[in-house]
Amino acid sequence: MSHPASNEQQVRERIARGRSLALVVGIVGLAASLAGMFGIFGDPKLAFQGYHFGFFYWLLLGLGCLGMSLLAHATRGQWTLPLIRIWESGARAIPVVMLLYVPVLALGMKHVYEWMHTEHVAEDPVLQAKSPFFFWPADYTGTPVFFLVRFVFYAAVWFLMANFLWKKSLQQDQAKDPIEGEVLSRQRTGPASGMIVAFMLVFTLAMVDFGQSLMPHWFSTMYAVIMVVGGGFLALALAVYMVLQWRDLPPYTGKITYMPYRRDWGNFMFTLTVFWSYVSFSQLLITYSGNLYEFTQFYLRRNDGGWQYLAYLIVIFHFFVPFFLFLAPRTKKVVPQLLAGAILVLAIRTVDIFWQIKPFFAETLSISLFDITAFVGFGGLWFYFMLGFLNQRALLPQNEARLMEVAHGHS
Amino acid sequence: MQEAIKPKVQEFPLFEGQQTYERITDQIARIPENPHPPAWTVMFGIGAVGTLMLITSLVWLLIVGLGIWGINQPVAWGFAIINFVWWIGIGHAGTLISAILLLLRQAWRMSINRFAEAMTIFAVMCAGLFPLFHTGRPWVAYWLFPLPNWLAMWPQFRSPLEWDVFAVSTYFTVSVLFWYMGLIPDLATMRDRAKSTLAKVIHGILSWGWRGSAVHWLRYEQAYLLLAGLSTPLVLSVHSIVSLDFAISIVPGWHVTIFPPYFVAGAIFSGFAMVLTLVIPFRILYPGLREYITMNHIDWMAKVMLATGWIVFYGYLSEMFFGWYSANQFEQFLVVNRFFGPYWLAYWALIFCNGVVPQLLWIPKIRHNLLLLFIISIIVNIGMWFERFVIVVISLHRDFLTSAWGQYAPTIWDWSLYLGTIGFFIMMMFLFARFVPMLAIAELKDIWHRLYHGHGGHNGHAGKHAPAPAPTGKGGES
Amino acid sequence: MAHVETAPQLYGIMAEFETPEQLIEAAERTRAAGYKKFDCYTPFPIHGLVEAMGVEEAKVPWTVFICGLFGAIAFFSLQVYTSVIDYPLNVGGRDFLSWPYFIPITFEGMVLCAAFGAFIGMLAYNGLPAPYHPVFNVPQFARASTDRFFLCIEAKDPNFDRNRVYEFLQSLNPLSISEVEA
Repeated sequence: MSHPASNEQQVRERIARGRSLALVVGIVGLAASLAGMFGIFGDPKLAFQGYHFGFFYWLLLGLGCLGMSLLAHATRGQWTLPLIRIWESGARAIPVVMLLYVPVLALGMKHVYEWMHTEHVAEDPVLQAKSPFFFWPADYTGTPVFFLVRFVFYAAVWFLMANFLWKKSLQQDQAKDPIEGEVLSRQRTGPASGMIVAFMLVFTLAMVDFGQSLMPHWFSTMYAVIMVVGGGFLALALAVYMVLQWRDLPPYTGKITYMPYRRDWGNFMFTLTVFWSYVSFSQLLITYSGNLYEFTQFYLRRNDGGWQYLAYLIVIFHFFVPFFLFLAPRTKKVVPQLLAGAILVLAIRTVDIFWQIKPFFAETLSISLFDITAFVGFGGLWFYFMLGFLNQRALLPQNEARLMEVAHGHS
Repeated sequence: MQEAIKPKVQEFPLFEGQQTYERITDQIARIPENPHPPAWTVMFGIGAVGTLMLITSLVWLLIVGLGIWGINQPVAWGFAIINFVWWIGIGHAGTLISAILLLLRQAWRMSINRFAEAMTIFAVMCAGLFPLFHTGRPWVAYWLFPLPNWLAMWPQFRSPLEWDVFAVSTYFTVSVLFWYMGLIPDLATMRDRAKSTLAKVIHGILSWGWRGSAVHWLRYEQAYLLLAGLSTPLVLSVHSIVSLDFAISIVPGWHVTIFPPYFVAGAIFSGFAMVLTLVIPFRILYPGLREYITMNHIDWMAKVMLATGWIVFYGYLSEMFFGWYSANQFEQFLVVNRFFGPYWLAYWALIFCNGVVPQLLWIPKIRHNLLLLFIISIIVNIGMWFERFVIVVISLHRDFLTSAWGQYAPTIWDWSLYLGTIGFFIMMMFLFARFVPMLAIAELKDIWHRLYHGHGGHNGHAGKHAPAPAPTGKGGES
Repeated sequence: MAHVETAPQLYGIMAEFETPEQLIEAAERTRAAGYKKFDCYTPFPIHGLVEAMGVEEAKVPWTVFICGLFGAIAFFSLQVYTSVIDYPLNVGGRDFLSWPYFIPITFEGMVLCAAFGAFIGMLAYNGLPAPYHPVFNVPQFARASTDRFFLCIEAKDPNFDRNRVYEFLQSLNPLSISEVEA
C-alpha cells in the first residue's frame, strides 16, 4: 500500500515508548488513589471524589473520541481522515475507564453521590421523588440497582459502538482496492448516523448520572450539550496535537498535515470555541434570569469561594484567547501556532472540567492530591490502551481514495 | 489513477445536462426576461388575494384593537407569537444554506442559496408584522429603539423582547445585504443581456456598474465570505434570542436551558421543510431549474431535515425526561398536561409530524420521491407550527394558580392574518421569481468550473453525467 | 476637457480569452513581462487569478474586524449608559451592571456594524458605484459577464507602448484584441 510499514517505524516506536511511560504513570497514580480509598493518606472521601474527577475527565475524552469518530464516519469529512484512527482508538479505550470505576461503585458511592445518603433523602421529598431513577426497583434505602444497571448498559453500548467502527475501518483497510474502500466508506454513513442518535440519548443519561446527580436538586437540559461539545473539543485538540507533533515522521509528513487540513482543523476548533461559549453562556443567562435556587445553586457554588477565579480564567482562555487565535488565518499557516492552540485547548478544557466537577464536592477552591493521582492514573491507563489500539492498525485509513488523492502529489 | 479510483457508487450529479457558461447564464437569466408562464399568474393571484386579506386584517385590527384576536389572560401571546416564531424559523434555513454551507464549502448550496435567501427575507417580513402589531400601538414602535423621547425613559435592555427588536432588525438588515451582494454580479449579467434601454438602466443602477474586475472579485469574495461568517452566528443568535423570550421567564416548559440550540435546530428543520415545499413546485413550473436543482440537492435537504428533526425530537424527549426528573410539581404537571390536557391533540400532532413522519427520510427511496417529500415537508411545516402552539399556549393556559387557568381559541381574525401572511409570502416569492435571477449565476459558473474543469480532483460527482472535457491535469484541493 | 475634440484617448488595450485557464496564464505572463497596471475581467471569481496577477490585500477583512469591534463596544456602552448610568433600573434585585443581559444586543451590534463594514467596504474599495467605465466601450465586453475572460493592459502603465502591448497580447493567442477608448 501507499504507506509501507518500514517508514512508520519511528512513529510506532514513539507510540510504544509512550505506552510504557503511560503504564508506569497510570499504575502509580491508580495505586496512590486506591491506597487513599483505604484511608492511608487521610480522609478516604477525598480519594473517592478525586477518583470521580479522573473518571469523569477521561470518560468525557473517550466519549469525545467516540462522538468525533461517529461524526467523521457519518459525514465523511475530508479533514477527519488524518485524525480518525486516533479517535477510534480513544473510543475503544472507554471500557477501561468504565472498568476502573468499579472501586467507587463497590466501596465509595456514599462519598461521591449525595443521593446515597439515606438520612438526607429521608427528610427531602425532592430527593425521594428522584430516587427511583437510581434505586428502582429498590427504594432509597436499598442498593442503587437502576444506576448500576445503567452503568453496565453504558459500558456495553459504548463498547459496541466503538467496536463497530473499529471493525468497519479494519474492513476498509483490508479491502482489495480503493474502489471497494470507497463503497465501504459510504455504506458506513447510514449506521453511523443512526448511532449518533443513540449515542446522544445514552450520553444524556450518563451525564445525569455522573455529572448532574452530584448536586441532585439541580438539573439542566443543556448540560449534556455543553459536555458533548466539550468532550469533542478535547478529542479534536488531542488528535490535532498528536498529529502535528509527528508531522516530521511518516506517515504524518507532507500532505497529511498540510495547509488545507490545518485550515479545516483550525476552523473547526474556532467553531467549537464559539459553540461551546454559546451553549455555556445560554445556560448561564437562563439560570441567571430565572433566579430560582433550584438552578442557581450550580453557579452560586462556582462563583464563590475562590472558584470564581477559575471562572475568569475560563472566560479568558476558553473564549477570548482561542476566539482570536483560531480566527487568525496565520494560526492555520504556522504549525507551532496551531500546535500552541491545541495545547491551550487541552489545558483550559482540563481547567473547565475541574471547575465543573470539583465544586460539587468542595465549597472553596481546592485541589487534593487525589485529584491529581486519579487524573494521571486514569489518563495513564487510557493512553496505554489507546496507544496500543493505535499501534495495532495502519495509522491512516487505507484504501481511502480521498486520502490517496491528497497524498499523491496533486499540488 | 484519478479516474480509476472514482467510486462506483451511484450518486446524483450537481448539474444535469450538457452545460456551458453560456447555457448556465441563459437558462437562469431568461426566466425573468421572458414572459411568465400561465401558472405564474395563478399563483401570483392566490398570493395577491392573501395579501389583500392580510391588509384587511391589519386595517380592522387598527380600527378595533387587539380585542378582535383570541388573546386574553392568561394566554396573552396566542397566534401573534406562534406565527412570529414560525415565520422567523422558516427564514433561518435560507441563512443556513447561504452562509454555513458556504463556510463548509459544500458545493450543493450554490444552486439554491439565492432562492433560500429570498425566502428568508420574505419570511422575516411576515414574522416582523406579528410582534409589531401585537404591541397594540404599532405607531409608537419607535419607543423600542433607544431614542430620547418625552417619557425620558430608555428601552428595557434587560428584557428579551427588547433583544428581539435588535436581533430581528439586524437579521433582516444583514440578510438583505447578503442577498443583495450576491445579486450584484448577476444584475450586471442581466444588464449586459438587456435589450431595452430601460432594463439596461435599471439593472445598471442596481448592479452599481459592476464590471467583473479580478481585483473587485477578490474583495467581493472576501466580503461575501465574511458576511457568511457573520451570518452564521447571527442566525444562531436570532433564534436563540427568540427562545429566550420564553426561557428568561420561569414559566414551566419555558424556563429550559436547552431552549436556545433546540430552537435553532427547530428553525432550521422548518426552514428546510419550507425550502422543499417551494423548490419542488418551482422545479415543475420552471423546468430549466431542474438542471441546477438536481436530486442531489433535494437528497441533501432531506438529510438535513432528518438530522435537525432529530435534534428537535431530542429536545422533546429531554423535556419529558427532565420534566419528571425535576421532581417539581409544576414541571411534572406540564408534561402530563401536554400528554392528556385540553390541547393533547396539538401535542400528539407535534410528536407525529416532527418525530414520527421525518423518520421516513432514513429510506433513500423516499428521499428521492418528490411527491412524498413534498407531503413530508408540508407535514413538517404543520408540525413546527404545532410546536410553537404547544410552547405558547399549553404553558400559559395552566398557570401556577388554578384561579388563573383559562382557555385559548383563535378567532377568525387570527386565522385571516395568519393565512394572509402566507399569501403575502407566496406573492413575494413569485414576484422574486419574476424579476430576479432565481439562482446565483456567477456562483454556479464558478462551481461548475471547479468541478468539471481546472480542479478535476476530489468531488467524485463527475460520474457519467460529467459534460466536461477530460480534466486538464491540474489537480487541486478544494 | 481639452481633449474633447481630438481623437479619443486610449484607456488601454484589451485581449479576450475563451477559458479561465488561458486568462490565468495570460495574467502570469503579463506580470512577468513587467506590466503593473493591468486588470482582468471575468464573469465569475476565478481561483488563482489574483495570485497570478500578483495582487494581495486584506483591506476588507481588516475593515470588517474593526467595524465589528466598534459595534460591540458601541452597543455594550449604549446599554451600560442607558441602563446603569443615565436611568438605573432595579430589575429583580440584580446588579445594575447585569452584564449577562447586555451580551445579546452587544453581539447583534457587532454583527450589524461588521456586516455594513463588509458591504460598504467592498463597494468603496472597488470604487463602486461606477456607472461609466471605459471597458464598457468595447463591444465584446458585453460577454464579460457571461462567458468571456478579458485582460486589459492600461495606458497608465509606465511600460505602455501601443505597438509593443499589441504585439505582446497577440503572443498570448487571444480570441480578439481591442483598443479601449477612455
